[in-house]
Amino acid sequence: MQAIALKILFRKKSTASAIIAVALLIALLASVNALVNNINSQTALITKLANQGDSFLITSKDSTSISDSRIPANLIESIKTNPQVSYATAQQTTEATIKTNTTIYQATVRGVDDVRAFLTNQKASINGSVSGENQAAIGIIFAKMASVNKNDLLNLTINGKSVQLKVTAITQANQQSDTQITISLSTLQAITQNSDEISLIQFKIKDAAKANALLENLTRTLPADIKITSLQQVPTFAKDVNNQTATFINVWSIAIYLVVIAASYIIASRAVSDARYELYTLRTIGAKHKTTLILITVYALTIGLIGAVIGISLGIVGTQTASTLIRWNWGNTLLNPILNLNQALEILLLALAASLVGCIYPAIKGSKIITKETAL
Amino acid sequence: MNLIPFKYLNRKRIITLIAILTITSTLFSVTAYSFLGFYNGFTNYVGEDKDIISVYSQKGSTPFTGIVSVNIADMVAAQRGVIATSPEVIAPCTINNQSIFIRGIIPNAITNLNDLPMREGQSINLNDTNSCIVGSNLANKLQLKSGDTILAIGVLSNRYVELQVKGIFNSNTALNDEALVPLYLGQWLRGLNYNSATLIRVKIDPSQINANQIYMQITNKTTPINPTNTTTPPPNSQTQRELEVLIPLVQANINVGTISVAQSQQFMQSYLSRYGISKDTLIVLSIVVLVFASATAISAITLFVKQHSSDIDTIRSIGVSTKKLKADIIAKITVCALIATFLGTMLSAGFISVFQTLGYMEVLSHTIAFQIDPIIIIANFLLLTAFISIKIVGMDLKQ
Repeated sequence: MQAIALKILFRKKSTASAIIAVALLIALLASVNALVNNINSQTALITKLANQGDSFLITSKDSTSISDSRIPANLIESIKTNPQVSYATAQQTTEATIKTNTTIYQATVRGVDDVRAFLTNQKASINGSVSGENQAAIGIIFAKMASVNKNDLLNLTINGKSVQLKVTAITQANQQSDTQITISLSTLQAITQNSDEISLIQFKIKDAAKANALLENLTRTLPADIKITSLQQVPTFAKDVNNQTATFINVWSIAIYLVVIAASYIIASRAVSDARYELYTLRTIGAKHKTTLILITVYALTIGLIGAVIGISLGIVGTQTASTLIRWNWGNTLLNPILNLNQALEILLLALAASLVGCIYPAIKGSKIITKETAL
Repeated sequence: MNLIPFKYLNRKRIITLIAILTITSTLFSVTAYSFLGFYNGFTNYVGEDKDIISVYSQKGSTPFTGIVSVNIADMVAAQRGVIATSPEVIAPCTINNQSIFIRGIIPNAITNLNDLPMREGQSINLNDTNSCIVGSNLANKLQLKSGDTILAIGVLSNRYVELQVKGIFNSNTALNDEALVPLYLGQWLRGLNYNSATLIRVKIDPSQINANQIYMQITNKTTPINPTNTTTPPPNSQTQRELEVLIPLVQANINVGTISVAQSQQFMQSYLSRYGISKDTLIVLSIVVLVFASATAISAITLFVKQHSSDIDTIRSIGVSTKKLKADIIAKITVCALIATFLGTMLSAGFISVFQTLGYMEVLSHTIAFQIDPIIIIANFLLLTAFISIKIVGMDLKQ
């Protein structure tokens, strides 16, 4: 009996327009998602082609910056001996008070295990030389700001302990070291009296193509409380920007599903209105209140399902056709919008959920009206 | 609007119809305002005022990747009608794996172009070598406060910078989603030398000078291409003098063929137009969305008329013509469309604002702002009215 009743509902003229209403909305979602997928996959492809960088930082896992990072000093040996690593340096940074002949400044002091190698790796231009203890390489910006010249003497104070340094080089690397004082790690450790911990290890790999394998290996062998960070974050940046676009589309989809709810409400209300006589007949031949409710709900859900399937197909075919026409006209071979199976299923399920939400009230209301008419 | 002096339309059904039309209108408004929010945010990225012009590189495929010489700021500064110049470096970076844009600026120069009131902490000076100020949107996103230390890692260069947040500012511009640092810090993160910037923004008195005249000025002052750098002549501007105290500037050669000068909005629009994006195309796309959603509105109208079929029959039976009846229904539903347009606009404003506050309305790490646009409201109302009218005119109101 229910099957016949459902058939009666589907034979109504309004069924086709109801399916079209849902299908058009879902087609919008499918096509936008397909286009965003295309943009994201193109971004990912370009990201892979871009320079990924060959330098990395090792810091403590819980740190948000360098100044709060503490890692064991002896880690540097295992990094330096790794055959895939072309260069590695242990560094410690700290804030210090610098007293020159004329003034007092606060500056960051960077202790590195090999000052010359560090500056060479930074591609710094070095005016002078740094080779011994108690010698300092001054960044060009700090030198200008504090009016420090080569061969000047500086008094460096950290936590109340002072040491006199001779400026033996003025350096320019177009990096943060241009505003800092670079000294040997042993000199800094002598002042801080802490040779067990360093702030970071910076290392460079020989072959960027083998970076992932090396990083996996290091992550396995190094202590769990450290992290490795790439120094040119193209993939991370692109991934986050893609996520922002995807999130925006998801938020926009909420508005579409609201309209699907409204459409389902109309579909169910119209079914009740159009098939009032048939539903009344069903009730008089013994159909229960619950049966009528289920009947209207199943009808609206079926319309939602068919509409969603047609909409997804329409969305994919529409974007594919449009992109093919664009390729023919403008030769943009990168345009190839595709919807993932998971996304299609997600859209389908959400469309069904929205249809269910939309049809419940008119279904309940419809079944009640029929009950009243039966009583008459 | 009563052409027929009977209240034959059920109030509850009218409210339901308004609700359905409101939802359809909300979808259109959310789509249109989101698109336009992105478009306006992008085109106003370097300034929306007519008196701000940009000197930029034609070679950059995005507004963030062009390179121009900082010296141009000094060339332009001495011109009559030039109020202020601000060389800026825009560097895409990551902080805690989140994408952000850090802008290298000369603090005294940018404040002539943008008001940057501090919400907390202090502003930066050019000699704050490891400090930044953060826009309030970005501060909320990264949960930053004054005194925090962050590690910014470059995207276009393999550089990193440790920064201390000196203050948090409020701005009505795209700067609210960015961190501002002294110019040279931006240059490190972007991988540029001290002579280069992404663009130079110039505030002018439009009654005295325009973009073309500035371009001509740069052309006249540019020396022929010479592969060697020479020492800098005495600086003209306060900006340049401030810079020279700190960073080693050299007189770099400028290839005028690669630079352009344009009003700031036009500069950004030119990038979007390369990808076929304009305000008109975005409005058309939004209209397409409404057309796709119109089937729901049309179904609602059909149901609404059907629900009143007995009342319509009664009115027809007392001699009211179909034409007059249709006109009356259209007039009444047009009022519904007007209410739905108003409510839809309000709902979309709430929708966008809520998701904006939650941080979900971002494109290219910049928040999509909501800004009422009369064109959208008018288009919304006219389209809804058109769909309703066409449907009702085509309906057969049989007795």
